[in-house]
Amino acid sequence: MGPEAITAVAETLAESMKGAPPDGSIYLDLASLIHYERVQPPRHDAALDAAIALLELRESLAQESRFSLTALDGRVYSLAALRGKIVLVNFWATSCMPCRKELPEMEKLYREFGDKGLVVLAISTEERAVVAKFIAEMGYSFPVLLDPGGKASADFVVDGIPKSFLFDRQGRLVAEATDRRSESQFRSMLKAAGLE
Amino acid sequence: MGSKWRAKSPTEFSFVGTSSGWDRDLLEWLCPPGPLWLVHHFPNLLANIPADTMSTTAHLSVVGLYVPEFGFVEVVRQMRFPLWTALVWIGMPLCAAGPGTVQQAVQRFEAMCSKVPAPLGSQFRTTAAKVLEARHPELAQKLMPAGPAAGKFPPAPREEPASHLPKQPYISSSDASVKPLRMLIGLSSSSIWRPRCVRCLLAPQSSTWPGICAARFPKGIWGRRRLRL
Repeated sequence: MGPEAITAVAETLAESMKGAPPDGSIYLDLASLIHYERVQPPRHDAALDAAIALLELRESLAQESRFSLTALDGRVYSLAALRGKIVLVNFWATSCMPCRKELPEMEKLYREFGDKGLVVLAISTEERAVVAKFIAEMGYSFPVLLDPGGKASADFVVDGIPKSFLFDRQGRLVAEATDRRSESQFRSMLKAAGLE
Repeated sequence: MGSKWRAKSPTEFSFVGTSSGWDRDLLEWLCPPGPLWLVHHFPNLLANIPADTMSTTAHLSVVGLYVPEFGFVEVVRQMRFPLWTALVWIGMPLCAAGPGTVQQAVQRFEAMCSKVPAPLGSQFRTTAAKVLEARHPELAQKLMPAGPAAGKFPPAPREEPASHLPKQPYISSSDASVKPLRMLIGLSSSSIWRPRCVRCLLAPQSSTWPGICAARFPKGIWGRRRLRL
């Protein structure tokens, strides 16, 4: 959806909250739109602030993640070892169509910014054979990590895929995408980490 | 262009304006994370001092460490550059070593949540506790609301006992929003909105509060999603 549609959704959501029984999930949805999609808050509301603080709490859990995962090529990757690089962590699956649509964008950016320190880590919880076959067919060159136990997914509180997290050179989480990103949206995220 | 520090609270600073140079990067690196924050009590430190003179002439009014348990601990006043640099390098590992980021996020969340009346505040706290449960059980325990309803979400309106419902078909505001949601699903194949749409549509069949239902959907329709908030 484009920005106008997302804004309309936020307004509809805010409207539906009026007079309705208190529902934390609706506040969290609206908070996600405000926090991640840069929608203007439709009104000032303490509950909305608390919902945004809850999202930030989830981000802090992602920030402290210390996963160490093996890639398809056998190399082991961890966030700690990549300090000094800009790291885009993407959770995906071969069976997820939106994920598959954003992988080419990630590949393009990886090729463009790889020399400038961008590392793309695509994490899948699927079986090695399934992932390896897909990657070989598509010819992607970024590291694809296997997370069979879903530990990294749990660390990052991934409740849906695709989901992306961007860490800057100091290891700080600077941007998060809660769903499929277009190339321009990915570029906006990278800008937050100083890549453009 | 000059820059200004604006203190939001004794423990939190935000950077307003733009600047360049090592000083800003260093300070930004230091201040946000960690249990110990290097704190300046100087309202316009960088605004008044050009970055290129920072290395030789700058004075910092007060520099100290913020320790959550003890508050602000003043370290030194009127400090010149070499000592400032030394303190920064001492502070870096201290900041990086601590478990503070999540704790700070929890503190901030609690502060925000305290302004939210029940039952919403309780719902948020329960959700936060569930998020923290695996890796920070002690924090999760602290957040979980007390009382007989602890950890439980209020039922969705449609699950109220029949005796409480009016005779005519009961349509709540959230029910009324389902129709546009259903339409939106077709438009939002890649949207953040999708889980919410699906969740709303699932709700009539769900025996739990929609926000905590977990479901896996057929491959290739929504992507493989595990809904949980």
